[in-house]
Amino acid sequence: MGKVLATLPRAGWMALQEAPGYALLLVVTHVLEGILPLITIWAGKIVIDSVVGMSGGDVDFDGALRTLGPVLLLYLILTVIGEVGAAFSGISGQVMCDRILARANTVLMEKIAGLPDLTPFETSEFHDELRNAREGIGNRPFRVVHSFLFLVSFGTTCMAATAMLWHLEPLILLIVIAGIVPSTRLSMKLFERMAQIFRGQATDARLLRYLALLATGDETAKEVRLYGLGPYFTRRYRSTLERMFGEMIPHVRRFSTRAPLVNLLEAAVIAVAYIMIVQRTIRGELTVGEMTMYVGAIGLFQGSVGMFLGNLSEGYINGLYLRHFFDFIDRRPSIQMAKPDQARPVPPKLQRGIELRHVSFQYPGTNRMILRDLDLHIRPGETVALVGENGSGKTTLVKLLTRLFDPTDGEILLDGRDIRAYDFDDLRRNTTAIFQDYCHYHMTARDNVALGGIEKRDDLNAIRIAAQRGQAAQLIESLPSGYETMLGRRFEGGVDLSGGEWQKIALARAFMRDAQILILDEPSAALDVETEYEIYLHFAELTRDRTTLLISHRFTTVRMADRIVVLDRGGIVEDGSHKELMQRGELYAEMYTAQARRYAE
Amino acid sequence: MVSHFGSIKRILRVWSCAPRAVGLIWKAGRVATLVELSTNLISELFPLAGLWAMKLIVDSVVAGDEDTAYFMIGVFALCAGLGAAAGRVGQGIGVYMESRIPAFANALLQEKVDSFKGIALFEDPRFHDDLENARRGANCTDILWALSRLFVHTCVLLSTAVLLGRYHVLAPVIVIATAAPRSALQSLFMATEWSVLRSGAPEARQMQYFSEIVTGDEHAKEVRLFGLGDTFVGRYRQAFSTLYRALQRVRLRWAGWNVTTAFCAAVGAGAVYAYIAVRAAVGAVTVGDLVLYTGLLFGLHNTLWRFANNVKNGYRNLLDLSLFFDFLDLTPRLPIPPENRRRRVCRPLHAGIVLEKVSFAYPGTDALVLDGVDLEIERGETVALVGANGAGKTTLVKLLTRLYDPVGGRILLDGVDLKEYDVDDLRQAFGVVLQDFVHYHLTARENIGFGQVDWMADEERVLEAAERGQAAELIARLPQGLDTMLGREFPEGIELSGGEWQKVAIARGFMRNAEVLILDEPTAALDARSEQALYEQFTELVRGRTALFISHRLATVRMADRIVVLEGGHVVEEGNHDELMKLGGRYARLFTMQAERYGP
Repeated sequence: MGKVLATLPRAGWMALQEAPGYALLLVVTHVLEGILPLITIWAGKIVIDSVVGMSGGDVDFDGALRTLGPVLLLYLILTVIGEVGAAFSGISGQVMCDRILARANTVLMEKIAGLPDLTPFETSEFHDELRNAREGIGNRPFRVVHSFLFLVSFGTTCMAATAMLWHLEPLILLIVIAGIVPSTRLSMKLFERMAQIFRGQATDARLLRYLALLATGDETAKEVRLYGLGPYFTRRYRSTLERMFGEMIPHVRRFSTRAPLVNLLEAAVIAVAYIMIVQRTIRGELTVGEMTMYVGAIGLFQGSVGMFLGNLSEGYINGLYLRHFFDFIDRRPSIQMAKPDQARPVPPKLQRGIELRHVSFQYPGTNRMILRDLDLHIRPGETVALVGENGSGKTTLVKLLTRLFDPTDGEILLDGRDIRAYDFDDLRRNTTAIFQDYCHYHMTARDNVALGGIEKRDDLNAIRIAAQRGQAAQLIESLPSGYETMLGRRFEGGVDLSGGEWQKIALARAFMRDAQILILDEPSAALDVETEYEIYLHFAELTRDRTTLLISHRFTTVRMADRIVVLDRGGIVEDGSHKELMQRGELYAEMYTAQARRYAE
Repeated sequence: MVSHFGSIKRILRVWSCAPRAVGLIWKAGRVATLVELSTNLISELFPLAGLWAMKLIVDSVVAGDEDTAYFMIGVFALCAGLGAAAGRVGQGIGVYMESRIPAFANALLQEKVDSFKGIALFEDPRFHDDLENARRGANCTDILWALSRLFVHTCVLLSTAVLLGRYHVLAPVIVIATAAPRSALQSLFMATEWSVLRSGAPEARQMQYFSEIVTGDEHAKEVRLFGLGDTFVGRYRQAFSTLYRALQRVRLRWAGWNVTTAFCAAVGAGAVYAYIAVRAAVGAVTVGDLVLYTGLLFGLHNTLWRFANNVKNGYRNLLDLSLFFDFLDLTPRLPIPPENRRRRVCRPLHAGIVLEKVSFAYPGTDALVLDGVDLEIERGETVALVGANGAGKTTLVKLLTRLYDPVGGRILLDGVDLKEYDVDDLRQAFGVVLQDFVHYHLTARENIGFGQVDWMADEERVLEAAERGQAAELIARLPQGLDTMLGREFPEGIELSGGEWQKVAIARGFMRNAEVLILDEPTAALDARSEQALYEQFTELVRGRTALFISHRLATVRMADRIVVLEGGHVVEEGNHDELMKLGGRYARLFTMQAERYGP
C-alpha cells in the first residue's frame, strides 16, 4: 500500500521536472482551492454577524452597504480568486497532462532501448511488466498527479477545518472524527478489496486485451477470416468478462447495502455535534454567524475527508499501474556490462576470430537446455554455415554471439578475450545481421535501409550500395517515389510489399553497416529463385573480409560456406567443408542428398 | 466564420449521439443505470433540503425558538446523511459500470470488425485511424459518469434556480447570465482542440508507432543490434513537439478568454450576494433567508461551473463514442448476396476452379498486380504457382478465398461465381496456410484447433492434424502436450523457434476437411528433414482434394500435376514439369539455375 502511494509524490516530482512553471502553478492553485472555502465561510460569518447586529436598528440601504462594504468586497475578491484560480489550474492541467504523458513515454522508451539484451524479453513476467508499464502510462501519470494535487487541496481544507473546530471545542472535533470513522473504514475496505480483485484479475485482463487484438488487429485479419475465428474470440472475450464481473458484483452489492447504513450512523453522531453548537448559540456563547461558520466547517471537514479518501483510492488504483511503470524504469540490465573505463574496443581487424568454449544456454525461466557444452572456433574472414533441424539451437547461437543473451555457462571469446570485456556498443557496431523474423518498418524505403546504419542516413550513396548488395535496388527504384516511397500500409500513401520483397529490404539493411561480423539467419527463405541465385553469385563478394555465420535449410546456400557445422539437440555433431562432410556420409550428406535428389532427373 | 460554423455543426453532431450512448449504457446494465441515476439525483438534491433546514435553524435561533431549532438540526443531519448514503451507493455502482460499459462496447466492436468479410479495408490507412478511434471510443469508462452528472446537474441547476428565483427573479438570471459565457467557451474550446488533434492525427499515429517499435518485442532484436533506440525516441519527441506546439497555440489563444469569463462569472455571483446581504441588513429578509439564499446562490454558481465541466466531459466522451458509432455504421465493402440466395459449396467439388480474365489492383493503387489471368484448376488437381517476388502469387490466394474481389474478370467455383456463395461456407471449403501465419499466444491445442474451431475439443483430430503438419513430435515434447501455452504472452508459455511455429501453422491448415488446400510457402522455415517428410506424404495429404501451392523450391514444385508461372501479372507458362522443361522457357531456366547448384 505504502509502496503504491509512494508513486504519488514520485509522479509529482516527475511533473515538477517536466514543467516546473506549470507544476508550481498547479500546486499554488490547489492549495488555494483547499483554503478558500474556509476563508469564505469565515467572511460569511462576519457578514451574518454584522447583519444580526444591524437588525432591529433602523439602518437604511446606504448605511448597510457602507458597514458591510469591506467584507462584501473581501467576499467578492475571494470568489474572483477562486474562479480565476480554477481557470488557471484547468489550463495548466491540460498542458501538464500532455507533457507528462510524453515524458513518461519517452522515459519508458529510453529505458527499454537502454536494455542491452533480450534476456528480459523471454519471460512472460517481463511482458506482463512491460505491458503494465505501458498501460501504467495511458493518461495515468497525469491522473496520479491530479490525485496528488487533490490530496493537497483536500488535505489543506481538512487541516484548516480541524484547526477551526479545535478552536471551537476539542470535544466537538472528537465527536466529528468519531462520526466519520466507520464510513472511512468501509471505504478503505472497499478500495482494498477492489484493488485486490484488480491485481488478481491482471492475467484475465491481459487475456481480454489479447483476444480483442486478435479479433480486430490487422496482422491477424486474414487468418481470422479464413478460419472463421471471429465469433470464437468474441465468445471467449465475453465469457472471460462475465467471470471477472462475477467476482466484482458481490463486493459492490455488499458495499451498496452497507454504506448507506454507515452513512446514516455517521449523520446521527454528527447531529450530536450540531446540537452542541446550537445549544451554545442559544446560550449566547456563540454568535449566529459563528454557528453557521462551524456547521459549515463540519460539512467541509466531512466532505474533504471523504474526497481525500476518494482521491487516495483513485490515486491508489492509478498508482498501482504507475508503480509498474516506475518499477520498470528502475530495472537493471540483466547482462553484465563492462565498466566504461575498462571496456575494450573491438580490434579493427580480428586476428583469432570467435571462439565458443563449453557454451551452454537455456532461456531464462525455462529448463530446456538449448545449447549444451558447445565448442566452436570461427576464424577471421571465414564463412561458417550452421545446419540443423528446427529447434536445434541455431538462432539461439546467433543471439549469444550478438550478446542479445549471455551464455548460461561457458564463454565466448573474441580474439582471445571474453566478449563481455568489450565495449558493448562497439561490439554491436562491429556486427550486422539479418534475422529470420526481420522487421517491416512502416517508413520510407530509404529509412528502411538506412536503419541498418542510422549515422549514414543522409548518405544516399551508401544507402544505394547497401540496396544493391541486398538485391533490393531494382525493387526500390521501381517504387512510385523510389527511395522516398513510404512502405507498409500503416501510413498514408504507403505501398505494401510482398514477403520476398520485404526480405530483400531487410538484407539491404543488414548490408548498410560495414561490420566485420556478418550474421545471416535464413536470409533467402522467402526469396525467389533468381534473387537467391544473384545473392549466390555475389556471395563471395558480400562476405569478403567478413567473419560470417550463415543459417539456412537450403543446402545450395549452405555449401557456399567455407565450413559447415551441423547442430543437433544443442551440440555439434559434424564440422567440416561440404566436401569433407559429403565424404563422411553421415547426417549432412544424408540431408544434402535427400534435397538434391529431388532436383535430379 | 466558416470554421466556427463548422465547429457548431460538429458540436451538434456529437451531441446527437447522446441517445445512442444512453442506449448503449442501458443495454450494458439496466438496473445499475437506474440505481446510478436515482442515487446521484438524491445525493445532490438532499443537500438543498438541508439548506432549507439550516435557514429554519438560524431563524429559530435568532427568535429563541429552541424546540424548532433542535428538530431542524435533526432534519439537517438526516438530509446530509441520506444524501451521503445515496452518493455511496452510486459510487459503488459507478465503479462496476465503469468497467462494464467499455467491455460491452468492445465486444460490439469485435463483432463489427468480424462482419467485414473481406480485408480490403485493412489495406486502407484511414481504416486504421477509424479502427483506432473506435477502439478508443469503446473504452469509454467515463460515459455513464459524464452523462449522469449532466442529467443530475441539470436537475439541480433548475431546482436551485427556481428556489433562488423565489427571492428575486433577477437573482438566478444574473448568476446564470454571467456564468453562461464560460460554459459556452468550454464547448467551443473542446471543439477547437479536437480539430487540432484531428489534424495532428498523423503525428499522434507516428508517436504511437515509434513507441511500439521501441517497447514491443517484435522489433527488439533489430533495435538493439542496429542501435536504433535513440533514433526512434528522437522521432517520437519530434512528433510530440509538433503536436504540442499546435495544441499550445490554441490553448494560449483561449486562455485569456477563459480567465475573463471566469472573472465575469465570479463578479455576477458576488454582486448578487452583496445585494442580498445588504437587504438582510436593512431587515427586508431574515438572517435565515440570508443563509438560505447565500447557499442557493453559491450552490447555483458552483453547479453552473460543474455543469460547464460536465458539458465538456460529456462532449469529450460523446466525441470518442461518436467515432465508435461511426465505425459501427460502416458498411462492409465486400458485397454479400442476400441470405436466401447464398449458395453453398457442393462437396465434393464436381468441376473445380476457373479464373476468367482476372485482374486485380490493391485498393488505392492503380498498379495491376494481376492482369487478365486465365487459369483452370481441375478438381483433384495439384497446381504449383511459380514466380518472382511480387509477381502476384499471394494475391491470387487472397482472391480465391475472397479476402478481396477481383477488379476485373471473375472466379468460378464449380461454374458459379465466388460472389454468389455464402462467404463463410466458401471459406469453410478452403484449408489455407499463409506465408505470414499468426503465432497465437494460446495453447497448442488452440493453435492447431483454430483450423476448425468446432473440432478443437476432439483430441484425436487435433493430434492427427499435428501429425500431418509434422508438428506431432514437437507437441509430444511440450511439457503439457496439447495444453501447453505457446508464446511468451502468458504465464508458463513456451516460445517456439521460427520453424516450429511454422509446423504448428501447417497443422492448423490440415485441421479442416477442406476441398481445396492452399499452401503459400509452407516450408520456408522448415528444416530439410521436415520439408522432406512433409512432401513425401504430400500426395497422400492432397488425395481427393484440389491443391494450390506456392514455393520457390522447385524440387517441390515439380511434384505438382501442373505448374503455372506468373510474371508481370500474367500466366506466362503452364504445364507439368517435363513439359515445361522441354519447352525450355522461364521455368526450365529457373529449375536449372537451382538444380545445378546441387551438382558436384
